[in-house]
Amino acid sequence: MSLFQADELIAALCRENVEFIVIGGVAATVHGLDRYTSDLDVIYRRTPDNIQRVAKAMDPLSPSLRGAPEGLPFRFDAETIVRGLNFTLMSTAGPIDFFATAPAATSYEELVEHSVSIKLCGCDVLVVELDKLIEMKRGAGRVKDFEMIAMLEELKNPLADGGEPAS
Amino acid sequence: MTNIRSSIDDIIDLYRRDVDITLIRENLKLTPEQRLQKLVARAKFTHELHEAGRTMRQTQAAHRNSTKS
Repeated sequence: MSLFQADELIAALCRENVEFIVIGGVAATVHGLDRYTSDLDVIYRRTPDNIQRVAKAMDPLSPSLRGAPEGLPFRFDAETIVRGLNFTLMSTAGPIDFFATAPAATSYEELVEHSVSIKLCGCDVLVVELDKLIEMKRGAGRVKDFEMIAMLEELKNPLADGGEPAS
Repeated sequence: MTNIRSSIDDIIDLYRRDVDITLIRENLKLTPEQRLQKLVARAKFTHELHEAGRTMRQTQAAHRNSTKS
């Protein structure tokens, strides 16, 4: 399994001006959560131009379908992205998941209103707001997320203040 | 507006009791970029631990095989 390099993945998307929003564990980390996560989850915009940019950004990172049998013919190109919606990928910079929709987020266009721009890896990156992230985690309804929701809610606690929250 | 609670809230409240607020405070002192870099460093360390474990298991297996023969 490739080493997870969240910064490399974000930088690759930024280089091609991909329109995306960071969600999931990396968003939680950026907001201040002290918890390990091993993949980058993003919501991407489903416009023809942006789909081309996603494919171009990922091409140098040799994307493959995570968990699929070895040798399975798969190309993460614009045509594949158009035909699908959500992709769980492995790359040379580690795992990355592209979502068109997610729980409590029907599209990029809807989520962009609940995102903040944060300087990461030398570029301005959209990261889902803390309240929306909690809503999304609640919407997913996964038992493994309950602990994270508790931690995220503590981030809003004034007692935890004293640093530089992301939003 | 009434705040409707579900059984999920009760479970989350149980987890909240054990959240280490001191870790959160320390993390909030970092900038978002520093928090991301901390995650990257942690991923690198985890990867190194996995590799070390794999090497150790291979060495042990080779040792077991050599003592059998």
